[in-house]
Amino acid sequence: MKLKKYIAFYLITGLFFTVSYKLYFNIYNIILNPDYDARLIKSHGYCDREGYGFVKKMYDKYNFSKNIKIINFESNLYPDVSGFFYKKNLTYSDDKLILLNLSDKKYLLDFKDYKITENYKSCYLLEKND
Amino acid sequence: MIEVISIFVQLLIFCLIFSYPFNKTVLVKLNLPNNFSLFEVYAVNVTVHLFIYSLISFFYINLKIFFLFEIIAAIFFIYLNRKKILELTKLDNSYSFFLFLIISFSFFIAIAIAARLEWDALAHWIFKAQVYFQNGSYQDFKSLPFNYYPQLGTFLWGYFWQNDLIYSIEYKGRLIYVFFYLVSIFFILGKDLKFFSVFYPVTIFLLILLTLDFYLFSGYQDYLIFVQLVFISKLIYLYKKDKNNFYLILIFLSSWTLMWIKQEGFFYFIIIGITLVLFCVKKINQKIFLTLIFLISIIIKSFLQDFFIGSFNFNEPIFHDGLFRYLDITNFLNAFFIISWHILIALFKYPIWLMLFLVIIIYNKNSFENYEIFYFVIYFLFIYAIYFQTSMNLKDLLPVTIDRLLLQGSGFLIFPIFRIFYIKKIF
Repeated sequence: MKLKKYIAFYLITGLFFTVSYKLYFNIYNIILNPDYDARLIKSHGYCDREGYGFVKKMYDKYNFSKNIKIINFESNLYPDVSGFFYKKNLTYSDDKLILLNLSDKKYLLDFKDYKITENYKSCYLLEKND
Repeated sequence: MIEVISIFVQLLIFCLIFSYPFNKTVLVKLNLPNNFSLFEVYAVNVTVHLFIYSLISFFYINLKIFFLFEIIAAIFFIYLNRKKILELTKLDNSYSFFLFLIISFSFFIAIAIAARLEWDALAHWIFKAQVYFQNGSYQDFKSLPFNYYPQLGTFLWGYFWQNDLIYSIEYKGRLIYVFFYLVSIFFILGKDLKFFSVFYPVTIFLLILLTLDFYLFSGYQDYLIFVQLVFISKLIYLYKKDKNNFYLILIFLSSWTLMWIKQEGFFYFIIIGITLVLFCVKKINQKIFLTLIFLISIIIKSFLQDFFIGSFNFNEPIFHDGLFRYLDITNFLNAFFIISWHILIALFKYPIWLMLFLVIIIYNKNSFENYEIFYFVIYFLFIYAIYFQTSMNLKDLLPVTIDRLLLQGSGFLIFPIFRIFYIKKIF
């Protein structure tokens, strides 16, 4: 019985330290990287993958009054991050568009009604010509 | 550092909210023979809260005020139950609670670090969470992608995202899924294992190891179904043992919430309903009453969806012309082998299923209750039916969906495995 209690004690302590070690490591990481957006950019990319960083920057800079449609040219690989910025009381804009992962510029010809407002590598914010 | 503190505060808020309305004092007054553990009390409250959330998610309610009400009510109930709570600190409960806090907190921190939403979460779940985050309701879903998908999981996400006491970040709402998952794991053990038994930490560790898929905390809803099935499975066992109708009410509430978590929850609801009627209640009037309650619930579900969204749809119509392809036996066998092969692969991803098959082989099927065997059989028929029914390409669909379905369904069979181990004195 005594032996069982000893084993239990060491197992509980072992489990506690295993969990704690990982916990301390992660807490240390959060304290080092306190910016949640920076962590999201690390996960979802700036102007690659889901392009979270570029979209976030556009929303912060222009403070859009409507939801903006995002077209990811690698949509078979990456989903759309517009859900992060969705506002339920706003409609979708007809005159603004965000393009992501547009590596081949010839596809811009498909958007000849639009002008480029912002461009960073393969990411674009387009606005409809007046 | 503030973020770390706010995560811990969020954990304490969860512990506070789900400690009411039922506590040990109230449960004793209901003449329940089972001496409830702390996590059994949590499970009861999670079930009741989820039922209430499923109802209020349809209406425009100021969620900040509702949250404030919840906090005040929780504090009031704790005050009423203060003597029992002081008693709890002297028992093993306080140690298991400490272990629960440490594991929950480490999972919460890991989610904060990962800062990632996976495909389905970005494609449609987050839109619904945003609606609730912005004080919306089910009525705002009309213009959203996959608006016919159920809403309960995203209500939780939006509700706890909005009501973070220190500062709200999107992932704070998703922490509730981890909280429920860990409550369900500790709930399985209940009071059967004493904390200072050798097997308590080992069992907790093993259960987490066998059922954890961290990927699914990235905005997926599958763990909510898993959690509800864990609750239902143990509650059915307790009902059969004690014959107290309170358990039956809880089983119904849990089953109801299944319908509002994911589309497949609707079919789990039917499976649980049939299981209850066939195996759990004995009297004919009880059988009729339960059948009516389950049928009325289905009608209410279809009515609410039709009223608010305009249709009672699934991804595809249940009956369609494509089903005639199975009149050709070659097509049928081909689909059967593809589905079976992918089920086999997925079983290795979630070793809880391998454990289950091992238990069946070692202790034979007689160790299981009839309703557990029935669930096992009907569940696999359900899995095959889903994939036979779809008109999508099985080779594309199976690798990305079958593993999640198997994880959800395993929830019902974990408690029986634990119970058999306990009866056979493995612990």
